[in-house]
Order: sequence, then structure tokens, then C-alpha cells
Amino acid sequence: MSDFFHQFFNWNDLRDSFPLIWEGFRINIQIFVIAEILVLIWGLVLALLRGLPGRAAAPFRWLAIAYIDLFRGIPAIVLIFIVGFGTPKTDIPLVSSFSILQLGILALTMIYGAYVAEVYRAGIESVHWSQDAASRSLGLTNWKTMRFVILPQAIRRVIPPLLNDFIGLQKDSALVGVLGLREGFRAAQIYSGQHFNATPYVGLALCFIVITIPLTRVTDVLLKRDQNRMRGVTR
Amino acid sequence: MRKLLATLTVLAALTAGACSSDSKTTATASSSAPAGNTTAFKPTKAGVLTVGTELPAPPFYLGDDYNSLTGGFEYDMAQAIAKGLGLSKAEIIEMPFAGVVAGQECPCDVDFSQVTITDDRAKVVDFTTPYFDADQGVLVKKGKSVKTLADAQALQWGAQVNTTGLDFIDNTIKPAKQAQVYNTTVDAFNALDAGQIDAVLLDTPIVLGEAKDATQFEVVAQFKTGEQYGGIVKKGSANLAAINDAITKLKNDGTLSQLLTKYFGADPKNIPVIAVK
Repeated sequence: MSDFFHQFFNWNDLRDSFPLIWEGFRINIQIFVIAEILVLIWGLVLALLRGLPGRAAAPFRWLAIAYIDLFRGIPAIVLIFIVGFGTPKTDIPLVSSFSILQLGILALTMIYGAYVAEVYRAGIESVHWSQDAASRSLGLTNWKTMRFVILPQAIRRVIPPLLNDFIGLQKDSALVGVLGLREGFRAAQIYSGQHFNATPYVGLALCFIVITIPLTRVTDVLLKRDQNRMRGVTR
Repeated sequence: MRKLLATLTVLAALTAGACSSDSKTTATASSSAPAGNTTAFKPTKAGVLTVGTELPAPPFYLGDDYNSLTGGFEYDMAQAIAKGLGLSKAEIIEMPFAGVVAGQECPCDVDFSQVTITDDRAKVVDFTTPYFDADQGVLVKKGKSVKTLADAQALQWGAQVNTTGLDFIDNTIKPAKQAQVYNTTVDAFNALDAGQIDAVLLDTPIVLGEAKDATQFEVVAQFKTGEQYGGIVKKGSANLAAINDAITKLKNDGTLSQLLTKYFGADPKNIPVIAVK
């Protein structure tokens, strides 16, 4: 049992490794905060393209569907390798001159954008069709209906599943280390390799948990509030 | 590669993270008689030199089957040593590396498995005279020049996680930009090819092997860490002196240098060394 504590909860190793891990974890924070903002925008664009009405917009719908199907199906680590090691050797404008950090953020945005697009779509489709019909009959254009009637209701409903995807995104920020970045996981690995002790990994796990657990609780509170509102419970 | 990592592991474990350049090769056997004298050699199996190793280990041994190897640096060296000892040939048999450094008895005369000579290991086994300098080689894209420590400090380095190379960059070169770290050597070479890093620091034989295969790369310099490979014999073996004589002869007559060029594209001795404080 003492071996167990020595291996995973060694106070000295935790204390000595923590500055390195924290320095690395700040890169994780940078990755997932920027990626989350980009994912919110990119996912919404995809969801709106997918929901465009009319025959003329069909190619956009197909492209959006193809993108979402494709990028939800690729394992994150595979896409990180493709984007991170592949694109710098190409002459794709802008992207080929990205730093490793930017490439990692791009790969995560591409994947999570596809997930989040589906979350948005679920929200948009959950708004009753009568809302759309009513606002169109009041003279709002299709775009204005979406912007002022559908989306405000849809986004409120999907906040809990959005946060759920964000927790996944935060954890996947550790995958970007494969491109050479010394983020939290890599820092823990280096310390662990030098001292033959797994405590740094536990320290890093704590860093993630300190961020994800409050986020989970916030998600729960929002979910509860939404349910109460739906059932007409007054606060 | 695995052996080099294991080497590092044992090193790090025993020296508690001390810089690997501290563990110099004082354990090198020094009992060799002057070259030219034929010292008595008693083979385990009559008429042949039995050599233990663990496959696969290209380019030290070419092939995966102990009975049908087609060449390799250590393989050719073993054959030359056998000749030097007046034996018909060298026979290669399996001897797992973990067992070797744990002091397990090898049913062979000598073990050549890219084992770094360390003081701690020399307590368990006897090492032959070193036959290979495994320093840290600097791999760059052709055209990049790295001549001084100041040059090296200005580079964006890449290394493999938990290797001597990464330790050396972090603790000795101390570059302005933090080194990037990869899971495998292949990832590091990929990043070098993609221009994400300027240079990779790894064991010289590994980068020489890569530069031989990938012509866009070259090894422009090396840092001395004092790591050398030695053959392993039983502690107190009476055959050590004879084997050392044979190795020394191969060094002096240029055979080893030829083999290095044949299998690694260059003799590491010809790669410029960057001095560090």
C-alpha cells in the first residue's frame, strides 16, 4: 500500500513537478480557450449552412453535411497529425505558416466544430415549427427569423450539451503535445521519466479536474434551471 | 533504440537524474595486452566465437533470424574478431538485453548489443574495450550550419521524450527557445522535415542512420557525452584480454572505421565536435 502512495501521491514529487506542470498546463488553457471560442463560431456557421432552406442552397447543405460526417468520424489524434505534420509541407495559404500551437488549435476546432454543429442543429430543430411560421407571417425574413426568434431559444436549450463538448475539448488539448509542444501532459511525462514516479500525472489530472468539475456543476445548474422554466416552476 | 532508452533508464535510476555526462567510462577494461600478441582464447563452443545479442537491431545486425543474418556493424565486427582469434566464424545466439545487464549468465563468449558502458553495469559484468562512440549527433536539414555552442543555443531544438538528447539540450545546451519534445524519433524527423524545428539531438548512430536514408538531412556536429558501447563478458572472464586484443587490432587496421562508413554512412569520429563548458 505504501508503494501505491509513493507511486501516485508522493508529496515531494508533486511539489517539485508542479511548477513544470503548471507551466505546461497554461498552454493547455490557451489551447482550449481559443479553440472553444472558434468552435462556437465555426459550429454555428456549419449548423446554419446545414439548415439553409430552398433548392438553391442545396450545395451548401451537402457540403456542411459532408464536412460534419467526415470530421466527426476522424479520431482527434489522427487529424492532429495530419494538420500538424502535414500542412507545413504544403503551400496552403496562411495555414502552412502556422505555429505548432496554431495548428493544434486548428485541428481541434475542425473536429469539435463538427460536433458542436450537430448540437446547434438539435437545438434549432427542437424549436417548434409554429415559431418559424409565426415570425415569417409577421413579415420577418428567413434570416431575421433565425437570428431573433429561433436561435435565442435554440442556444439556451443546448448550453448543457455544449459545455459537455467543451469538457471533452479541454481534455483533448493534451493530445496536441504529440506535435512537440511541452504542454501539461508532456511536462508530466518528462518529470515522470526522470524520477520514475507517476505523481506528476496525478498532479496534471488535478489541474484538469479543478477546471472541469466546476464546469460540470455549472452545466447541471443550467440544466435544472431550464427544466424548471419548461415546467413553469417559479424561482 | 530500445536499448539506448533502457540504457538511459538504468543510468537515470542509478544516478538519480544526474547528467549522463558524469558517468564517464572509467569502467573500460584496461587489461588488454599489447596488440599483436595472441592471447589464449577458450571458446564456449569449439571452433567458433559464440556471440549473444537481441534482435532486431538494424543496422547493427541485418535480419530478424539469428541463423540467417546478412550483415550489420556488430555482425561484421564479430566475424572479424572470430577471424582474429583464429576461429572459423562467429555464431549469433539470442540473449535478451534485460538479462545481460542484470548479470544473467550468457551461454556465449561475448555479447555485442549496443550496450553503453557504465560504472554500475561494470559491477555486474566485464566490458570489452569500447568499439563505438555513441555521442549526441546534431541532425539538421542540409545547408544549416551549427559550429559553436552559441549557434546551437539559437536553434529551435527537437528531441525524443526521456532520452539523453533531451536532457542534454535542457541542461547543457540551454537554448533560448524551449526544445520541442516528440513521442518517437520518427515524429521528430517529421517535424524537422516540416521545418517546425531546426535540429534534432539524438544518439549519433541513430541520426547517422536517418541521414543515410533521408537525403535532405545531414549530421553536422556532435556533442561528446562520453557514452561508448562495449561488448560484455562474464565477470572475471579469462577470454577478455584476447577479445580486447582482437578489437584493438580492428581499430588500428581501420576495419572498424570501414564498417562504420559502410553501415552509418560516416565514421562518427569525422563529425565535428562542439565543445561545451
